[in-house]
Amino acid sequence: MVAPARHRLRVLPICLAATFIMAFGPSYGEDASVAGLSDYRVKAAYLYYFTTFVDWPPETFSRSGDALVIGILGEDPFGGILDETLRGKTVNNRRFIVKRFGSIKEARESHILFISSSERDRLPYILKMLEGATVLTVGEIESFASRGGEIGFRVEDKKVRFDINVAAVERARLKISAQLMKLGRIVEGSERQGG
Amino acid sequence: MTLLATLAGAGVPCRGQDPAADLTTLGIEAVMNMEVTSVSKKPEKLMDATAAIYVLTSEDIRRSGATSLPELLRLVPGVQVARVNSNTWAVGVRGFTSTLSRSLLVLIDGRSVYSPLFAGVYWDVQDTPLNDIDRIEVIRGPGATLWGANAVNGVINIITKSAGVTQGTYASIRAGNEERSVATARFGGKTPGGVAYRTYAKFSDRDAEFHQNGDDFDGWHMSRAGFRADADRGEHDHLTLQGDAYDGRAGQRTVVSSYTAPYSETVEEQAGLSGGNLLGQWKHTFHEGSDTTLQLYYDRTHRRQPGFTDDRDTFDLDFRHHLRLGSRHELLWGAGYRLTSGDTESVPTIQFIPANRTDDVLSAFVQDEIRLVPSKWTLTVGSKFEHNDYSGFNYQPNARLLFSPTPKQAFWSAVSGALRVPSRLESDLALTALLDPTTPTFIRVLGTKDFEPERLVAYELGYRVQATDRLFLDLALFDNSYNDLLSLEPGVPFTETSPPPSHTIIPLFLRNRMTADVHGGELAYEWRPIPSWRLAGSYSYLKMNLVAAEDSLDTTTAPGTEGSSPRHMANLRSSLDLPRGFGLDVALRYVGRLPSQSIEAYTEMDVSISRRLTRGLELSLSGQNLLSPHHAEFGGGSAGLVEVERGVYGRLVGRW
Repeated sequence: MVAPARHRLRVLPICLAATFIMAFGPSYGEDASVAGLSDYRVKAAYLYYFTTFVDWPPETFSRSGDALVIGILGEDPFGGILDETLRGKTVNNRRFIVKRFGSIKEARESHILFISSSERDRLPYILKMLEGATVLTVGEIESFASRGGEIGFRVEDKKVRFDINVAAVERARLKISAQLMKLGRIVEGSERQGG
Repeated sequence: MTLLATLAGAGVPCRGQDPAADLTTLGIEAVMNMEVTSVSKKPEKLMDATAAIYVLTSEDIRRSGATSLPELLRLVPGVQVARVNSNTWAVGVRGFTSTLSRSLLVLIDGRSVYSPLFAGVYWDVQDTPLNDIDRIEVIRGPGATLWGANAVNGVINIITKSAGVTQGTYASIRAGNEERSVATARFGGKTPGGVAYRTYAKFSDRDAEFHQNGDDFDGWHMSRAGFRADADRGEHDHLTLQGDAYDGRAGQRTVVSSYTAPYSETVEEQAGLSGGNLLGQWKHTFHEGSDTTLQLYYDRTHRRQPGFTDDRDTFDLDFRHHLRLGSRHELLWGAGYRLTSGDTESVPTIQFIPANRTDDVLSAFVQDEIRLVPSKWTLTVGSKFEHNDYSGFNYQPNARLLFSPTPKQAFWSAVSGALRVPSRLESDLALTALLDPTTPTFIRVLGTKDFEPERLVAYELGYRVQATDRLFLDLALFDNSYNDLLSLEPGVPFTETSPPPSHTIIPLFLRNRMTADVHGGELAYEWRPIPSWRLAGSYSYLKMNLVAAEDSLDTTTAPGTEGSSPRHMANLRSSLDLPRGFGLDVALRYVGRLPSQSIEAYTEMDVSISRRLTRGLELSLSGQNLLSPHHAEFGGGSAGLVEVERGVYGRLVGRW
């Protein structure tokens, strides 16, 4: 198509060279400095608390060497916050492993699966693929729980709250403590309904 | 530190909560009552973009106090927004700004609002209710591979909310001296079958701006209504159907020439603007890593201006398939077809020949995102292939490289080709304007059938860093090389006897005898000194150098174009959350001088104070352009200079 003006061609190697040079320069931005309270720090903390209120069948831990696997499906909105929150923590002597999944099949192996908003339009498909898996699905897509997810976050008056779809939790063969049920809002809905 | 307060008082806003605290040690009830200060996931999502992209979120929109789409775009780094008069705007990205910026593509939910007649966007009919907008993504630089022709200097994607998130009733009413009244109402619900829907209606009445001679011709009135429905059908399908209809008036002043004495008169008229659109979209997931989107829309516009009327119907079909191949390739390919048919009616001095014309565009694209080293190096290559009735077949490739040394910083560079294809303007226009009434002599701008696409090769470089959890920086640099840009080439004058009296015509042919080198950069930052205070700002630099080819006689296009975009622009906006439900937003902007528009550099300020009265009821007071009673932002052409006035309005929003 376009025949670029001849002198322009020199700019291309410079652009690429600059990218490479900067790539191997000092890296920065790794410091965990004092944060403003983003909703993802709160959501990460919730994911931790959920593990203390939910019972998974014992056999689910044999697949992960006794660790609790928290997965993220789709674009990771936490940007490292979840890893930081769970670093060095244990629940019932189980350590945490945070995994990012590209495929739903692999994601079935997690204990908690956070389904990112990037998956909004294929949520029904994802939930269908997760049928029969002992996974606590958590999301922040609107009406997540009434669309068949198990726990859905919502922000209300700047506070992060959550909905629980009890039927979906039961289908996943998980047990949620009565205390958590009291804190969340119970919603109904099945995987087949949409909106 | 007042963690005790958090623990003790449920519902008490807790400004002093320690942001560094380990939230997993406080107990779940404490976390439930913590106020979060940001519900935006902007920096994380932006990190992987290999283009100079900026996203205005619905929260940015809500807090801005802006009342129209162009005003919102003032917040975006590198975007020049000049209000020509009450209903006319000049919006440009990386130069070439005019009232119809011809190298900027604007899409609303995937529907192009770029006029193929006059090559540009009529902002006076893009009046989408701002509260229904989920986000506005602005890409500075070419986006031609994905979006197609005319995405040369930038792409503006306006994306509305899914009907699922606009449930319940919403009403907003605004009243003020400039924004005399703007009222919006929306109702959202859900059918028993699980279809979420919303309907809206919006009315706006905007006052004329400031005129030295007191001739307030430019009032702007719009009424519009629309709907959107979203539904999941089974596990594999998501369907969206939406539509809008509008009707409005915009006061215009134009000099219209005629072949009989007095040969030229200034006409003031209410332009009649109406139209509508209907769009359907079907997303289908075949399996993990394979999904398709099929979109079909119909768009109708009617525009009756002084001396000229255009009726246009557009059908557009677009198909996209995303496919994951192995663990390293994300393939995206698609194809599209657009049919656009326009009928024009006009006075003898403004003509399109032929008056009616139907054109189609066939296009296809393929793009592969290759993970060279997973989560470190990503290469994206692709090209658009297009055929149009004016310039035939073309292709528009790009290659983009992303390096993410850590999750919190990224370098990217890109080389891309993009085209601005001929519109009916360059091909079919015959526009005659009086030069000298005594002889009489006219100039006539004439389109040429062999007008070539304007060509850009762009070199871009970018760096983003989440330097600390409170500071985000985004730097983009570019060097744009243009060939075959539009020029006006005088021909041999001739005498025309029909219509009588006989008159002399100096023809000016639209040709491609201009090249340009444009370079510059934009630095944007977002800083949260404390959790309840957000500062966002940017600085943009632009240097344009247009050069006429050796065989060109055009001496006006180069200085005229260069002098219509500012060398320097800067903006700063502060969003502060205060106790008792108060919010304070201040936006400052500086725009450098525009010599060819006779516009001096100016600084302006908007201030907005909002307060939540009860749950679901919010009151706000906004002042716009507060630093001077009136200031000019762009030349008005034959309509004369109009200055933008200081405006104040109050607004009440209810949700239930």
